[in-house]
Amino acid sequence: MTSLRFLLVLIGCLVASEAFAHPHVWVTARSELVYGPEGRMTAVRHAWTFDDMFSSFATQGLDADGDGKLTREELAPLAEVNVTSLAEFKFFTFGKFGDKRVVFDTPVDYWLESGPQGALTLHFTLPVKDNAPAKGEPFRVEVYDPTYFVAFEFAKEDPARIVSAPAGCGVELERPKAPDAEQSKKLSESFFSGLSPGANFGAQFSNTLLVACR
Amino acid sequence: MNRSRPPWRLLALVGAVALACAAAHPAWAQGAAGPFGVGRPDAAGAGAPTGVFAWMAAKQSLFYHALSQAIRALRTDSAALLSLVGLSFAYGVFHAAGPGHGKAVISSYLVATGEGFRRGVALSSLAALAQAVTAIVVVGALTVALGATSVAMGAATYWLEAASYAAITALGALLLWRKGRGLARAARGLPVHVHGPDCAHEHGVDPALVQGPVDWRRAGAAVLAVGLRPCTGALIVLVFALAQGLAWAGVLATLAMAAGTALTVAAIASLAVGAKATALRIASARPGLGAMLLAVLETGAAALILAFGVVMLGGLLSGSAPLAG
Repeated sequence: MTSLRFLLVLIGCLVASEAFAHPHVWVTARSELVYGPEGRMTAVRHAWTFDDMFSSFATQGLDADGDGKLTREELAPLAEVNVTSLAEFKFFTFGKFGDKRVVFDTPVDYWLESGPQGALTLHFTLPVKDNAPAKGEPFRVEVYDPTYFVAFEFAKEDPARIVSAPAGCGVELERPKAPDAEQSKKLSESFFSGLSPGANFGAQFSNTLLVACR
Repeated sequence: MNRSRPPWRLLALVGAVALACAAAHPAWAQGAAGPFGVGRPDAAGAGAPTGVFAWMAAKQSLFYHALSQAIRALRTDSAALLSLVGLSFAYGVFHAAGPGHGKAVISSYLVATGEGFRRGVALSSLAALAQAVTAIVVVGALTVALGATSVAMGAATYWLEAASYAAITALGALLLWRKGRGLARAARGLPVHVHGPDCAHEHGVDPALVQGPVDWRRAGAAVLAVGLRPCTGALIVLVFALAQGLAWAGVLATLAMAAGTALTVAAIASLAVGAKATALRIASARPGLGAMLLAVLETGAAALILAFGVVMLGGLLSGSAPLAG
């Protein structure tokens, strides 16, 4: 009954492939971790630039006065939809220290900006609502989409910084491992090992901002 | 004829198993609106790819980025046309490895109905073409004619998606009903089906070799069920091309993508058909087993279509509704 087993594996494979997303949106991110007077993080300030095709798609029909330029006002309804929709995805921003998680509030100061070649940048500030790491305590902020609909990559230059942080604190960006090289190796090892989607694989695409103080 | 009473209990059991599988699916837990409110994910609750799927995702990313360059280049250089078509085709091949392109439904449909290779390829191609046409019509009607925003387009595709999943659910239920009855008869040692005027499938045990007349209504329903749902990638490429003043390039790219998608779906569907045929050939060595296995495989495939439809429809409807206008 080898072929029956083969059929079952094939069906499993189909079901599994239906459970795997692939990105439709590519984001180049720049993030700032903003500190309050008590020396604790109070907000994360993101600037996410979308790839040109998605930018063009998202802004379709928004040039109200037809002058070929998109103003902040024309883009305001889209920015509103963006931040509202992002809530369900926890803003793709995950703050962690020890085994605790930083709780974020709904975004403030959000707007969209249309840059060169129509690339759209979403600016928003995510205030810390609860569980801010104590002063001097090391923590990390991960930016990624566990569903992999959005592929995040931090900017080559000036990807992350800390604002008004206590002296001696610094931030370092840990980029995800190149999936291609890693995956190609896995590919030759075992085709069917890819069938268990249970693992938190999205985290493998995670960009991590590591903050530590001397 | 009282022995051919509908096997309610068995049908209920198979249906219950299908629904239990469906209920356990992560799609239920997550909303279906895209994270930016525009551009919908292919499948609610889908996760990041692993293994070979990650490799395919990486490849299609590569082609996707090159695609936008090719469309831009086309404004000044008509030689970019060839690379546009080639890249779109390649993107389609790899893209179809992900969810939302009807692989599971088409393959299961072929296994359930006993269609052979050639018809499998035809159905896969028609489904891919139907998806492309839906995308072109959606973009054409909504953006060109109505000047709608991407948010409005998201709302429209939400309902197309819902209709697609509802149609898949109905198709699965119908097939499960027919095949489930056959299975119940086989379980009682009777011929799998009664020969009637609507009997439209082959009577041999090897579906790869013998094909009955096409049930066009049923096949059409399968194609439409899959094709109603436009692929987000195609929508994005179409709108982007439109914004560059190259609508025709967008249409061309979408059709080339559909050809690539058809290739992948047809290859996978053929594998399913071939696996079924091989299983039956081996089983036919033992009398009685072949007919039983055939009935089990076909009923199982029908249940799979039903489960898929229920999962996707449930995931879509339980998620947050699309933001209007």
